[in-house]
Amino acid sequence: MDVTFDFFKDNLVVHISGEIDHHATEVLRTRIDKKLISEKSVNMILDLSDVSFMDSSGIGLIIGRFKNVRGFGGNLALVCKDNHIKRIVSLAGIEKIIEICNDIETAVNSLKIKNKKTAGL
Amino acid sequence: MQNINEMSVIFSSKSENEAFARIVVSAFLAQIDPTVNELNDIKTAVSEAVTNSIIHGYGNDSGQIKMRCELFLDAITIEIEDSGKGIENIVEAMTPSFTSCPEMERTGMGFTVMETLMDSLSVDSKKGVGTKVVMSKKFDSLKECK
Ligand SMILES: Nc1ncnc2c1ncn2[C@@H]1O[C@H](COP(=O)(O)OP(=O)(O)O)[C@@H](O)[C@H]1O
Ligand SMILES: [Mg+2]
Repeated sequence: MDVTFDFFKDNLVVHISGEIDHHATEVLRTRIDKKLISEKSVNMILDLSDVSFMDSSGIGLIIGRFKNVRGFGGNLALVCKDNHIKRIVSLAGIEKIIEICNDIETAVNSLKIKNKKTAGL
Repeated sequence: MQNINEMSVIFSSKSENEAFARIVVSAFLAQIDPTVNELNDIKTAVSEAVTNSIIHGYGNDSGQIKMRCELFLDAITIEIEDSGKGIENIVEAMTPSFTSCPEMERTGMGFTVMETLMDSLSVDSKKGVGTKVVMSKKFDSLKECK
């Protein structure tokens, strides 16, 4: 498991690779939260394109980051193509609150629309 | 039905062993060549059960987890057993979204994942004694070519 960060049009993009299980989430959580606080960026894109395995620990990781980002007044979008991971995510009904996109570009656009709604525009 | 192969492993309740358990099951299944989807489903269910034994069964204590697999011509049965604190109310524990540890970012979806991805799931537990999860899955890919 590894996590790297970059920015795309003012959105903090979190690229996770490898396997997301309970063992991995402890480290992932700490590193992502530290980055979020230091950047004070409000919008986050969790890029799961290179994740090869995820169980329900990943659901907790996603929902936890969503709550943190919302606490800063921002929004979160997921990038995920793998059908198995999409299935795990949808079992928890995450897609009702978090947009699941096929690529980062789409995620950026969906966040733009979400932020306008949140701001009441 | 007579099994064609079986194995069991015993390992410590360390979170590193979540990945170990998945790899062991995958390696054991290599002999029957399941589809990628079938293998993913089984690895995920194993990961859920082993994680539960580690974080809920033993928590801050350490103990041993036993995983036993029986392979049949077109199916696998997997037992994951701990001697941890046990489950007081199994029906409540298996309810989607029920978790006793929300502060650890658990979402209560583990049993739901196991139930959805496997063909059968049964949970046997006694408070203060331990928990045993038995699940099985049929390989549709193999049924067709036999
Ligand atoms: N092996 C176990 N030993 C003790 N309690 C368990 C065990 N497995 C599950 N539980 C209980 O069942 C609940 C639901 O489990 P699960 O559906 O996997 O959700 P989660 O792991 O997210 O809490 C747990 O919160 C825990 O209280
Ligand atoms: Mg669980």
